[in-house]
Order: sequence, then C-alpha cells, then structure tokens
Amino acid sequence: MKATPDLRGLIHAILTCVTAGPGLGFNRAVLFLTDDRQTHLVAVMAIGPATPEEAHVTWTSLAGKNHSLEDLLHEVTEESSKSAFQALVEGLTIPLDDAEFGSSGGPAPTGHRAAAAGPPTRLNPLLEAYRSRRVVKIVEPALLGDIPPRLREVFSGSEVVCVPLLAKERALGVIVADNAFSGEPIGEQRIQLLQVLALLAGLALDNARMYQQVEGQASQLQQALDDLHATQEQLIHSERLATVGAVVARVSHEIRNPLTTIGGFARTVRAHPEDLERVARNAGIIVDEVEKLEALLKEMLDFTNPKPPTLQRTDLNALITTLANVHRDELSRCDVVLTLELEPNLPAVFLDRNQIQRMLLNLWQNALHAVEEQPADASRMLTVQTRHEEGAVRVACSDNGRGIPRDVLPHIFTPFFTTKPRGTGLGLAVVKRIADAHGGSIEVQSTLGSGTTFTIALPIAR
Amino acid sequence: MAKILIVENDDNQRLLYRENFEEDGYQVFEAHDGREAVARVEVDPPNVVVLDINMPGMDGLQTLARIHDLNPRLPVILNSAYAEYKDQFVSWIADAYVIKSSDPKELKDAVRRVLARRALRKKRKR
Repeated sequence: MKATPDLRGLIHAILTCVTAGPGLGFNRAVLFLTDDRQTHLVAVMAIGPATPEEAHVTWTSLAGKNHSLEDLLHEVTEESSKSAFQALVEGLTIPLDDAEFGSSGGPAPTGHRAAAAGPPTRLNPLLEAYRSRRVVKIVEPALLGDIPPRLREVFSGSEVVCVPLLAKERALGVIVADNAFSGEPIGEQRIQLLQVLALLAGLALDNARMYQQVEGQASQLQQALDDLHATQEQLIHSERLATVGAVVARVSHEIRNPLTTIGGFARTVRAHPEDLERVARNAGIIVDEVEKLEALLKEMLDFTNPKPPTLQRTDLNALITTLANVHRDELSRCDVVLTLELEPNLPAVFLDRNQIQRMLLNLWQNALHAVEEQPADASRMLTVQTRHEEGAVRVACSDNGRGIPRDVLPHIFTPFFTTKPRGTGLGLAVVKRIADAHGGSIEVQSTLGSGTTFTIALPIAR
Repeated sequence: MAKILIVENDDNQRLLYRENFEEDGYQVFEAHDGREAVARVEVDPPNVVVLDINMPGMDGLQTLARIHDLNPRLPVILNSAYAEYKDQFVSWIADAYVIKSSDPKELKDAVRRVLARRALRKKRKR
C-alpha cells in the first residue's frame, strides 16, 4: 500500500490515538503496512520520542495543558511530531517471505505469548501478529525473535505489543507499541483498547486504500481517455494527410492525361503549321481536352465549395422525364435502354432542381459505366422508378451492370475513392452530399454480376 | 520497318501516338484495351508494345502479364500518367516505364533503345 498524503494523515491520526495521553497513552508506536506486492511489511510511520531526554521535553511541553484527544488530532500534525525515532524506524522493511527473517514454522500460536512461559523462539512477533491476525505481546524484549537489527535496537527496553490491522478478516499490517520510557507494563485492558482501535483503523485504512484505488483507476481511465483523444487527433490528422495525398494523386493524373494530349497535339501544330486541315483537327482535339480539364476543375470546386440547395416546389416525375428526354440519345448511342416507372400523382417535393439533376446524371453515368463492362451482347438496362412512401418520395436508379464488389461497397461514397481508370472519385460523393443537403437519405443494393440499385428518399414535408 | 502496337483507351492519345510514331517511320497498330492487345499479339506480334496501364476491363499490368506469358521476348514499354505502378512487381518485367508527357521524346527514346537492344541480342545469337 503506497501512502499518499491523505493516507498518511489517517495513519498519523491512528498513531496519535495510540500514543496520546488522552488516548491509549503508549510511549511510542509504529505502524507497518504491507507493500503493493504483498511481499514486505513496511514501517510507514512512527510516533514517539527517540530518547528519554526527548521524552522528557515532550511531556513537559504538554504538561499542564489540558489537551483532549480531539485537540491533539487537530494540533499535532505529522510535520510537528517529527522525531529522531521516526527517522530511525520509518522505511524499515520486514519480508513476509519466510526465507529471510522467517518463523521457525508450525502454526502460529494463539493468544498472547508470554516469552517467559515458553522456550526462546526465532519467530518475528510482527509477522506472527500479521499472520495469525492476533495480538502478540512480548514481555521480554530480549526474546523479540528474528527482527531487523535496527528494530531490535529500538525495541529493547520494555514490553512490546504487536496488534494486527484487520479489514474484513484480512491483515493489512501491524501496529507495534511500547512504553519504552515510562516502563509501564502493558495491561490487558490497554491491549483490548488497542485491538478495538486497530480494528477501526484497519477498516479506515481499507476504505482509504479502496478510495485510493478508485482514484488511481479514475486517473488511469482519464489517462486512457487522454491517450485516446491524442490518438484520435493523430488519426484525423493522418487521415486528412492521406486524403490530401489521394486527392493530389487523383487530380494530378486527371490533369496529366489531358495535358499529355494537349501538349502533344500543340507540338504537332508547331511542327506542321502548313497542314491546315491537321491544324484545325488538332485545335478541335485541344479544345475538347481543355473542356475536360475545365469540367474537372468545376467538379473539384463544386465539391470543395458546395452551395446550399435552393428549394423549389417541384414535380419530380416531370423533372426526371425532361432529363431523360435530353439524355436519351446519348444513352441509346451506348445501347442503353432507359425505362421510366414513375408513380402517377406523386406529391410535389421541395428541392434544388439543378442539384437533383446533377445527382441523377451522376447516378446514370455510374450505371452507364457499370453496364458497359458487361459483355457486348448483353442487354443494357437503366430503370428509374419513383414511389410515394410515408412522408417521402423515393427515386430508385437501377442498372443490370456488373455490380459493386462487397469490399468496395463501404467506400463508394468516400470522396476521391474510385476504381475506374478515369474519374475523380467524386461522382457518388456528390450524390450523397446532395441527398444529405435535401434532408434525404441514400441506400445502395448491389449484386455482383447482376446489377445495382441506388435509392434516394427525399422528404415531402418542409 | 519496326511494328509498334499502341495500347491506349483514350482516342485522342492513341491518335497522337500513332501520328508521332508514323512520322518516325514505324508501322503503327492500335488496340483500345488489354483484350484487343492480347488478341493482336497472338495473331500478329509487333516488334514492341507501348502499353497504357489505367484501362477499363483488363488493365495494363494484367495485359503485360498475359503478353509476357504468350511471348516472353516481346519488348513492352509501360506508358502511364501514374508513377506509382513502377514499384509493382509485375512492372519489372516491362522493358521500360515511361510517365506520360506532352513531349513524346522520352517515349520515342525508350522505343528506340528497346528495339536496339533487341537487334543486338539477335545479332549475337547469329
């Protein structure tokens, strides 16, 4: 048991009760506690004079003043009662292991042991009191048994009593007290009082120890929490760096491809300015590639700087029909059959028309890529469904493409994540962002080899 | 006249490489993707393959492995906007790795170098 300031205060109060005149009035007392590893008894505190001279001074200074025990407990602090005795004893250790200052074996005797009554023994009385959890009184200090020489030196003049500190049947330590200076014999009544005190002290110490443990655990938890926060910070930081890295990698490649083409054809123009037909064609290619770069730039800026939706009461079916008509040619060029299954009398929804169009186009583009990867002879289907359902309007975009692999599925909405050779990895991230901005939700269902359905729910009430 | 197979899914880039290599007197064949490239190598192997990596379906590295299985002596030059594939094990079996640039010089040099090395090897064997 490690003695914190609080615990030391308690121990000091206990020893004051043992030694104070209004208390039990022993001349000196030492309190031993087991250490953390339960391998030693350690003298954590001692109270009392070291020499008869010191004892005389202490008693004279206290004489005449009618101190109550309570006064003494308040007035006499550990600091003010420091003595040479304390310095001599504190920190002494006694191994609980039999090997060093061990007992001679056998069960611990019961009751008070009058050394004179039996043959001399090497048993350490402190250990005996600790192990047997009973009081051990040494009448003949010469027969103190096997104790550290320093301790033997200290307790050599008079009767000594060793009382175990108990808490719930468990020994926490031992109080050793004597009347080295008054030489007064230690009576049965004193011992009984000391036992009662030791019992209360044991419980108090046990409580203090448990409190200390709880405090220790609390501070450990706090530490763990702090560590967790620090780790989280670090993770966020490194994730941010990783994201930045991924963005830079993706964007640089997206830029490098058009640049290669633009630069390459510009060089051709420079080398053959006379071939006007070729110059015109190359200029067209360069314009196309620059447009790709601009589109990329716009996509990036839109993503990093999203505009809040401008909500307008909208007939979603009409919006989808218009969008489908605009893009039907493009889709049929890719052999994709677009089917609309729109629920009639769909309630009007408040939404940002541009954003919802962008969202649908991104989904269709994804579907297009998915069906393009299927064998050429397979039919390529894209179906858009609307449905009215408890407070929401649902739009489902289904394709019969290759489907999304299970390990890819959790990442599809992550910005800059892509499995495609070309693409920013922003398409679905934008879809999710738009759905979120409308207070809606997005779900995805995908079966490898047979298709994917994205369902967006948009709330009706605003 | 050396035969070059350009494997590239970007139409404009494929055109760019075709014109550039034809100007230098090469006979140029094109493939839009890995599958087409492998089919071409099986039927009519060129003297050198210029291979893009990021392509839909079978990517350049998978194509490289297939070509190597079919014809281990056929020189392949990887040509990519990405530098990081350089560290991939399969990239090592390529004869060169060129990062795409608006200046075709590096790619042209790589083609020349690879063909010269191949010619030298053939001469030694004779």
